[in-house]
Amino acid sequence: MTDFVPPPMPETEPAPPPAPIDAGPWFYAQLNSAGRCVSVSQASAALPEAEQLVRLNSYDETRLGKSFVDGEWVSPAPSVDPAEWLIDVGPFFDRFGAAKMALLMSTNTTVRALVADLQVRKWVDLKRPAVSAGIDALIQLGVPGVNAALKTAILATPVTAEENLALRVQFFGGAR
Amino acid sequence: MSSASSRGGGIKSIQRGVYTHSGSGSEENVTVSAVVTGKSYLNLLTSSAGATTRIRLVNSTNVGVTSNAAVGVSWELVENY
Repeated sequence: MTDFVPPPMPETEPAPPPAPIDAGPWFYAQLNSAGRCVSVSQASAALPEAEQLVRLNSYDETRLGKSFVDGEWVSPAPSVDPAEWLIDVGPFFDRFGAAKMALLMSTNTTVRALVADLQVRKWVDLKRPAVSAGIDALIQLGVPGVNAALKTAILATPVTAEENLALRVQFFGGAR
Repeated sequence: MSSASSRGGGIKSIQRGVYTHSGSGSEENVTVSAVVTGKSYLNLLTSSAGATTRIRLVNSTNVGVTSNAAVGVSWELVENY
């Protein structure tokens, strides 16, 4: 009589783990054609996978307006104020301070021409090279009180809301 | 007297969302989980003053939002049994 030797068990691959059941919750961001989030919603079941749908962990309305780029949420670039460095003509002259009257009363023909040129404009763009060159000309012509420091103060000081209120209302649709 | 649940009625699901309309005046769509349209209704929860906004269930998986202003529109889609 011989000992019983059990036959070798056939090698089998372990069964794959069952697919996890998606029990929700199902929060989604919906992107528009530009990739910007226009909708946040809570669905009652998983939505079919789609390029414009991004699953969220929560009902997060802060996603609205953001772009989904390479798996990351990106805030939109801050809008640029087109009138940021535009100043009304009157407040521009005010920036000359004590030198303003000397400028306006100058009898020099070049200075008078520069002043006249400014007075027919709707506004002054402080970042325009011609404006910088015009103040340089005033310095060279010796208008009392106009110097490099004043030029820097005039051109580099941010324009306040009061300094360009007229142009905003008339040309940029701003509030009165 | 039978209750809604004993008749097999009652709410089956609620979906909700907020949509930022472009203000184009045309209808824009939000994707939702499939519902039986005949057993579902849509509520406009909030919009913005001064805007004319309309929502509708376009089909079983889309809510249509129309507005003449770029506004946020909150909605709720309820499906009954």
